[in-house]
Amino acid sequence: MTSMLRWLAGDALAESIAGDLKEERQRRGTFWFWRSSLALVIFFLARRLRDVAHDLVRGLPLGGGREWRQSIRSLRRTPWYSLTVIGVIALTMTLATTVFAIVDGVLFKPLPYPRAQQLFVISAPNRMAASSRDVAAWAAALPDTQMAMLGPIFGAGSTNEDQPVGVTGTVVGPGFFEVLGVRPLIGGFAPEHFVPTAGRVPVMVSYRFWRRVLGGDTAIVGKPLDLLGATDNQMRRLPGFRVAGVLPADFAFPVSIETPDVVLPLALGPEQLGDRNASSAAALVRIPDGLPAERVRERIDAVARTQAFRNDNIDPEHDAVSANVSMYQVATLLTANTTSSFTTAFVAAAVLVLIAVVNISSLALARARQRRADLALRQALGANRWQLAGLNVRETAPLIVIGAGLGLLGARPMIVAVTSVIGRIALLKTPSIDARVAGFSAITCLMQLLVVVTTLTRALPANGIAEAVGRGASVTGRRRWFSLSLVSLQVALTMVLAIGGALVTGSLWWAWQQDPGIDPDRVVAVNVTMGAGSAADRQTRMRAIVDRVQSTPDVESVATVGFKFLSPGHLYYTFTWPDGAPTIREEPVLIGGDFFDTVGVRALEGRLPSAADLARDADLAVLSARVARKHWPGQRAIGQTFRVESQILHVMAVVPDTRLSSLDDTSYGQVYLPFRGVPAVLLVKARANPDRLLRSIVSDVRSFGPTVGVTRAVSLRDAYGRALQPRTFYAWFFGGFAACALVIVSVGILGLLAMTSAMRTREMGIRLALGATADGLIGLLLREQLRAVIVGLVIGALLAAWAVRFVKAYLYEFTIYDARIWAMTIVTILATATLGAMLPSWRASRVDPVTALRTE
Amino acid sequence: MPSDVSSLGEFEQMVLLAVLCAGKEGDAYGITVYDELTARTKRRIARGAVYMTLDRLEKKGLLSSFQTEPTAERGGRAKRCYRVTKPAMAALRESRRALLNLWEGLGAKAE
Repeated sequence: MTSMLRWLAGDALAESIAGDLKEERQRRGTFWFWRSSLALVIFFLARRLRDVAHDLVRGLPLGGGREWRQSIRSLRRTPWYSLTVIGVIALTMTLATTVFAIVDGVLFKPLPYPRAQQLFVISAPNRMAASSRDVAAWAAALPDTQMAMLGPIFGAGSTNEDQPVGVTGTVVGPGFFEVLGVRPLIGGFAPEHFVPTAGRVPVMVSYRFWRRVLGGDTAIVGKPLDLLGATDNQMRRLPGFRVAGVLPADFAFPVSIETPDVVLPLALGPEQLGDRNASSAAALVRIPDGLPAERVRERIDAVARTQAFRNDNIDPEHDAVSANVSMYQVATLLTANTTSSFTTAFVAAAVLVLIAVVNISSLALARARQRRADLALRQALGANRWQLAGLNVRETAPLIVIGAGLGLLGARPMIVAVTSVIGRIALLKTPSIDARVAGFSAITCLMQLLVVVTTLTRALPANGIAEAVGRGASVTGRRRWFSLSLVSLQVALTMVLAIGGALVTGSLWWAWQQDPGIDPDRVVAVNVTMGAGSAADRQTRMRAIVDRVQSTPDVESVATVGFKFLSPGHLYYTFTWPDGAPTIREEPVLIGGDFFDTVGVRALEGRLPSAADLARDADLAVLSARVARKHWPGQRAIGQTFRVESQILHVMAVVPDTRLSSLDDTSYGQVYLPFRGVPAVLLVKARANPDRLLRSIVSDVRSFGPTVGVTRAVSLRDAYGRALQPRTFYAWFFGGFAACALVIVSVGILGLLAMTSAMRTREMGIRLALGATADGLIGLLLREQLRAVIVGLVIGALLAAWAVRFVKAYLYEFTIYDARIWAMTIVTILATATLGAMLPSWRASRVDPVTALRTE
Repeated sequence: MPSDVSSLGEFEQMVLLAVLCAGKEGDAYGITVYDELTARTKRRIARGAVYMTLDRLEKKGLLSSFQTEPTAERGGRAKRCYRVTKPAMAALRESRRALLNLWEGLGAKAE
């Protein structure tokens, strides 16, 4: 550390600082010593960099308009070089800008709350909800903190559109927005909104909902908002909503990155203040600076111990539940899930930029070598290194600016494409090219310019006159070695990206190959909400809907499912099997109608229940093969019995295992049970075109009145695709990097070899005159390049062996060292590099010896 | 030697005053000057900025420095102590006078 300080601040000052630090270390400890030492080194380093940049800008002769025009004319004389550099930069900047636009909201942009580090969410022990009275007691124990209640996110109904969209909602207590430090864009909650009402419930709507559904109406406050199946957080039917205000565009709900569409006030009557189910709430707390979060948690814990939070529905064997209050920083809640994957993507983008910089540097070096006589002559005539560096800036900057401009243009559609496959990965900020993203692009371009110009300037000939008088006709061994090492470096970095991309993309392909166990062709799923009325009324209405759909001519069969289908998560039932303890690990599927015919599942054993069996016999069950094998190994499961809660069921059939949540779902096997409640999903098998049928079913269901809503209508094929969206997104991301790196490396090798071959024309001519064959020359050039590629592959393999751990989380049934993927990647890189080297080698071998010997 | 106020920045003036304050109590060197500055201004100040300013003020002739005997407590290194030079004192007084004149011009509004 002292030697670094000496280098940065000078001997005398560094000695004085080092002595002071040593003296303070006795008083403040080792941690303080290292932290302060590091801070001082960073401070002096930043000053040094600033001084260097200042000198550079002041001392670099950038020239006037004439010089710039000359430089551009010079670039036009080498169109392949110029176009290759522009293409590489455009490609890299498109991807790097897209990545930055997406990761900015999670990794770099501060959360949209003032002093966000003070905000915490506290939930009650044993996974219980807190009542208004509970939270009031917590707040009383901490008079110096601000506290407000907030509820979970729930389905608040759906929009009344051709393609219905589910509307999400949440509830918040008084003072919520004040604690958060967020001011609504329009309107806001008033104290009277937190009083129970029999009329329309006031709601704040999200900015996105306001723009998309309410047309961005600035006079929206006080206007009614009608949703199909409008409900509150306790699933009570509501007469409708009234808009109280609009949330700001960058609003983020503290417990979930998915901003709810509507926010309801937590309006409780005096009798509900102690009712935990009525509020289903946690507390949002702003802790003042200086008060440790742990102290706050201890104080609330002490109060909570007196409030009897007991939860009998917890399975202690499988559920990790804290008996204390849970306290999470809002920043962690919002970004924890995406931080690691986005950091990986950002690092991958940085590697890609590095590959591009190495690539452009090597191309620029090769070009500089072609012009060595010109440069050496300028040196011999008195041009100093600064003036030659200025020339390099003039010849590199236009290419980088044009490439970056094209990259920014390409980034716009790329962001749209990536956003469309982003799926369930929610972001804090809608990706777009704003000032921050443009700033990032500008900084990246400046860095590229700096690296390329520095490389070119350092590589200037030491002895200009000697070079100018013709000693430079041959490519020296040292320079050829330098060129080849640049090729190796590019290949090594490409190998790292290619292996990562191939593993993630291969995983997606593999997931798509999985057999769902059902036949999703021609099947559509329609999620239906039944609105108001008793359970019997709603059941009758549902039966009428099923009959109506069944009578449609294009419909082959109809089934009903009691719980969401092809959505994440499943129901938890407690099963008791004859072979042991109760378990909740099997997936219950509540079915009715012609379920097995509709989804194309055949029996492995026994007879599948018909619609009539399912309606009549509540005690039957159908097991998937995994469940049957587990509980009755080596025996027939048919006729065996087991219990669900207290009910005894008998096994009627065994069917193959299915994947009902997603193709990459590794479930525990299914238990199909007859469903007597109000089904949530209709599964309809079409005779022909399922898309046309989908529209007619939606309109059929809607014809049953305004209380019946459709929250989702989708073909099963699409639903499987949507369930794989996060995986598809990462495959696009990392696959895109890998493909881009491969293109850059092949173009780079092609360009580099084309230029070095051109420089060796005379050598080729001599070899041909001495009897070498064209094939022999091709072989010679290819061998040289491939040696560099193989060295790069070995270094890349070592780097990739370490780096692949960062994509492990995105793999499905693949190990990070999957031999097939590694072999395929190595072969692809070798083939790409050979292809890049083949064309210039072939051209060099076709040179006429007489012409070649006259060169230079 | 610069006694002109305009050649002294705000932070430089603060460092000079901190050297004077620290010098009243004992040696004015890096640690004590930094402690005086942070304690009296209630600002977060980069330690590196203090050292760099001390060095710059010495080069400008506004501070003079001398080294003490090396001690084991400091890892065998000497302490570099600073003193404010006469031109610096003149510049500081000039600055104070100018500021006070301006405040007095405000009259009752200054309160």
